Amino acid sequence: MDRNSRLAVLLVAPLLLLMIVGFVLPLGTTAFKAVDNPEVTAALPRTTAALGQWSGDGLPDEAVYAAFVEDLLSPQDNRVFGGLVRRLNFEQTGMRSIISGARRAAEGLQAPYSESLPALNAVWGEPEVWQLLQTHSNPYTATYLLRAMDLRMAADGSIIPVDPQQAIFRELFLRTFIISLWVTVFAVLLGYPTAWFLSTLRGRAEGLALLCVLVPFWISILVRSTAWFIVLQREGPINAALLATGVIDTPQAIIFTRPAVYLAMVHVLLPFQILPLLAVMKRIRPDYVRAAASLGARPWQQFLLVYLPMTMPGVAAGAVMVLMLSVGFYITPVLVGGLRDQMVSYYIAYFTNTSINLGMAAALSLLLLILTGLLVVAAARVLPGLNLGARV
Amino acid sequence: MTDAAPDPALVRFDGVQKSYDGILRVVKDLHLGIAEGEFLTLLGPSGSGKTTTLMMLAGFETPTAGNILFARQRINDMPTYRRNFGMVFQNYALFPHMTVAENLAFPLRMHRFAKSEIPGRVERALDMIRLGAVADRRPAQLSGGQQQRVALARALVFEPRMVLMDEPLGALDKQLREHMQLEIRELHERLGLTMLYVTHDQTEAMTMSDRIAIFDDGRIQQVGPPDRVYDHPENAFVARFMGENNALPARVEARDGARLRLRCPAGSQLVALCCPEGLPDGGDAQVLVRPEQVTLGEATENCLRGIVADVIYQGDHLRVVVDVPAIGRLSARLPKAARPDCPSPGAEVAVHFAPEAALAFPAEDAVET
Repeated sequence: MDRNSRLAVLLVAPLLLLMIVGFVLPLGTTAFKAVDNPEVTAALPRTTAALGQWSGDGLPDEAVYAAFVEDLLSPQDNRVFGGLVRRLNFEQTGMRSIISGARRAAEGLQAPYSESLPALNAVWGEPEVWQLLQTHSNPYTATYLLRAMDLRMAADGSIIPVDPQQAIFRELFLRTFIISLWVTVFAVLLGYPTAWFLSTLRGRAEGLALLCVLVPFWISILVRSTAWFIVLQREGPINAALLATGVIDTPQAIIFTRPAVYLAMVHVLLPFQILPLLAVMKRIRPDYVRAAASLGARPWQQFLLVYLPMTMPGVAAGAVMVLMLSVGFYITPVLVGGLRDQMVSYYIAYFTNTSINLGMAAALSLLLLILTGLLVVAAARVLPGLNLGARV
Repeated sequence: MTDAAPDPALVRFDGVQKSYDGILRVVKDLHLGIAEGEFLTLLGPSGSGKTTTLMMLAGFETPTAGNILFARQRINDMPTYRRNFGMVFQNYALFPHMTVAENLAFPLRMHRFAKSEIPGRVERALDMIRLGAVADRRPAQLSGGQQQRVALARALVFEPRMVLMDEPLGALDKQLREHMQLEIRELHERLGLTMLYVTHDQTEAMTMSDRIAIFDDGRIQQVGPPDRVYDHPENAFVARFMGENNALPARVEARDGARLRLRCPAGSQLVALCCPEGLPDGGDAQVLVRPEQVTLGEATENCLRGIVADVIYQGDHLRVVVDVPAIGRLSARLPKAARPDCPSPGAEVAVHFAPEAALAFPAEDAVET
């Protein structure tokens, strides 16, 4: 490596480091967490080893039972054991009491354990529980990713849909994308004329109008969402005004509805649509529309055939940005939406903070990332102007 | 020189004024006729009102006062798309999202040409500008000259009633510009179209125009064929804007028919023709002489002495700059053949020019060129 290339490497090193720390590491960790399966192996090391020899047909032999009881009796960190219990209970409801019961009774159990354990709880005399333990003694699992798609792996290894009561994630993803699409549509419909109007202003008026767009942009999303919460609530100014003017006689439910979510999200995201559009519109000289007029195009033709196609890169850039941001929205739907208006990130937060199931949180995040990526790729194909921006 | 356009003209500006703020008039009381088939150039410095005049004819601006007539019909408020004028813009304004062929088909589609006819017309237009090979390219993939030709073809392809051009060659380099001037001139002769051309380049105006209208300060200073405005400028602005001029300060002493006798500050006597607007006896004047009219050597009339400041070889001619005491620098344009006898810088020389080649204008008419 000569001096110049060493210098080049040195110069890009901070950027590379930032990329690794800020991008590769978190994404890699998330992807890993979504398939990571350490709990069973950590809490039951001997059982894991013994189950490795087992064919999976019928019941395991005494060695496995003995290893299991020995694992239960060995002095253990409660956190590790708690992890095991949570992990198995997530796979099969009821496992919490079964495992905890076995642990409490382990001291008094007599060999052969293949008889005393089933005597304690008949579950231990059935192959399913051992198959469950064997499946999850593998350090990697597809459970979380499958569950994020409302699927699970049956005991025989085939992939089947989960019980209808448990199937919530497909609908959740669908809802997330439908809300995001509508938000994008509203943002384009409102942002286009606004950006056009801004692009016609000059001097002081331009600066002032741009400030009006930018000021909300500088205020935190939390504050803006909270403001909507206050405005839209039952005792809020909108209801008060409607009551006072006699339009309605009882306060209407505006907050915790889908329209409230759209309203607040569009407001928060509108600058992301307006600013790229404005940048594109500012660069289009009036000559193009004038040329169209001189060539015989009526005003609507001037717009549809010349101005609109020329501003498409701005529409596309803004729409993709709004779409991507709204897919990951959290605080606004939480504040102004009802339970049926929550999006994927609500459940990611739930699994991270409330149920402490990082695997599920990671799987949802990963799936959201993949679906959003696919959506952007699809958008780039459908919207012709997306990569044409520099040519206008 | 009066307006030579045969009346009724195709286009007539009748007392047209334009003001954007209600106070400052960009175009002041414009009277101008354009004959059918004529190539008329609006020439002037920036801010002289020439582009605004074109924009009003195109329909992008509305006159504040006066009328614009096309074929004796008032078109002040007619929308651009109904005027049926082809227009070429300074930056071409080719639609970047359409191919060359689509750009050319656009006006045909807008004017509802039969669908079956459009491809043939586009092809003929491409042949006319010799760009058939790039029909499927986007404008951004063409050179400046190619874009210019496409813009020209697009303004002609739908057989407009006239063609307006707003400094269409401004963005091209000098050689290409000169080539395109000839090409546009040839197109005009071949198609017999009425053309209105705006430029600030007097050479360009001289090359192409049947007539030139020289604008300054919102008014037409003079209209006429190129030779007329060059050889017989009606005022000092036109004289100095069209080509080069030496300006010699002098005072009117006597008159002899159309000729004036003037005296320079240093005492030398000059004889010059009087400008059309006339000069009072004893009035301060400036005598304008073109460099190509100045020759070296002694003479009985209009002879000035000075010191050669510089001799510049310019390929097709020599330029000799002479410092004349109390008058200033005088530039003479000499044929290349004069080179061997040419004095070197520092030498004392005499220069002279014919009285017929010198025009005296009022001195107040100080103009920046």
